[in-house]
Amino acid sequence: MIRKLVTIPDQRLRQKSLRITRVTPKVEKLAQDMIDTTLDWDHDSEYGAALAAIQIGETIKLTVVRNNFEDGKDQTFLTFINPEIVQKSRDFVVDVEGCLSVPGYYAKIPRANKIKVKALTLEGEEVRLTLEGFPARVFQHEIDHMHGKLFIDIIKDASTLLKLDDDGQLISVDEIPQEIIDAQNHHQH
Amino acid sequence: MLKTTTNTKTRIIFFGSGQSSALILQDLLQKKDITVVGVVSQSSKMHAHTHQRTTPVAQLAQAAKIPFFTPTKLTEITKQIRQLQPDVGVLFAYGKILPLETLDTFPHGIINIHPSLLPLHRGPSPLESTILAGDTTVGTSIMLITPEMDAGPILAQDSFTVPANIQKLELWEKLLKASRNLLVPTLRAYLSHTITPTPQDLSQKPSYSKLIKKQDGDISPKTMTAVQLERLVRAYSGWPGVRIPILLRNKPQTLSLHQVKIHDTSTGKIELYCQNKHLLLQFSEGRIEILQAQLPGKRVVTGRDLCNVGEIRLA
Repeated sequence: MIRKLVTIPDQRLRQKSLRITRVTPKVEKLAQDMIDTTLDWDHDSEYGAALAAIQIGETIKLTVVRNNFEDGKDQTFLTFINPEIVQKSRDFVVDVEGCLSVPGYYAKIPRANKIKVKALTLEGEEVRLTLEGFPARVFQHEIDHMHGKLFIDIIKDASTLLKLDDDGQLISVDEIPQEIIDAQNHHQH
Repeated sequence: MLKTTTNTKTRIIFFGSGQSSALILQDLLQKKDITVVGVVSQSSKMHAHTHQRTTPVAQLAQAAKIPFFTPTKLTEITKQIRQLQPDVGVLFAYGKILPLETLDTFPHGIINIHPSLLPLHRGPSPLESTILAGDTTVGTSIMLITPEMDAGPILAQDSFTVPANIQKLELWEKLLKASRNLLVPTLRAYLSHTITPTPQDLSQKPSYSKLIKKQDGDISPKTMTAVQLERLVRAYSGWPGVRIPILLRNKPQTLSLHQVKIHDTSTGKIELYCQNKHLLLQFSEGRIEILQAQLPGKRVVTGRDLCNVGEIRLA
């Protein structure tokens, strides 16, 4: 079932998500809803690489992650429960990322190049993943959601912010738009 | 988290010349996941008979500020093509055979749209060939170009049925529409490895269309049947047209046939005559009625009008 996406400035995005103690059919259904919602959102120039449960208004530690980030046509996902970073490399890489909850904007965000993640699968099995580059970025972004953080929080000057124009091209902005500042400010307490 | 595909746009070099090619190019220009990095068109000299200095494709490329080339020999621009770093080429009615050197410049090859159900009607005039063969199941193929003409593996085909008396223009519109609908999805599927090129089905023997010349339209009813002439009039409508030599009030004339229909399958002596103001052409096999025709420098008139002019017969 396609659900409504929670977008800025909705304060629910600032809530902290709770650990899932038991994988119930409701959790499975929710994961499917998240996949449906992400696929529904896909269009010509962008596609959802992953989604956290809070983005459809559910405050639980659940994320669905695309299997293949290089090919937007691949519609398969993996589901992770209670993901948590257990190790982070010191080297950072800057790359462009966006968020379904912050439509129209992208930003150059530094992230740890390599991370180790511990999570549960839908079958309740514990898995450990070693991730590098873009996949590492995706997990850091999703785990941030579970702590009420958004990628725009760290933007301080307009040079790192990008906007998606009508042609699906990323263009720079002259100054940080008010809607972004507002969404950031609410977090400063 | 979101990912844009903007940095992974497919880089295409387009080959084409005429108005229909321009429509295909227009389609490609509108796609957000595609960037047309260069356009290759026939040199204007080759296109002299349309009295245009540049082809419609070259005009569109100019307007869209895309680098375009009109080389007399494609090997002249191999270096420029390479510099544009294309992923794939798309070709539609370009009008020239591609040298191997050009094909090798494209990592994913060059995709060609051929408006026939390959291996049928390979060659330069698939539409005319389709009508002449009397096909009612027609279609379009999207294929990869190989050095042998129209023999490359197929990526996708779309087929449908049309009425037996379909006119060339109408057939062309249907095939162009089908081709346009098929191209971009096929291109995406091919580049994402969702589909793989399949060799042409050679269980049916390939057929070949020929390069049509103006004089191919000058025919003698003595060498054909009614069915063949009826198809020829539809296939050659517009260009090169179909003309028969006649005597009108004992004066030699050339009659251009614009619209004819099969009257019956009677056999008899080959002759042209009026019967109850119907202009009929008897073949050794079958009889046609000439509905619309034209004398040199005159308007298109009905068979009835011609019968009113005076005695008419074959020269």
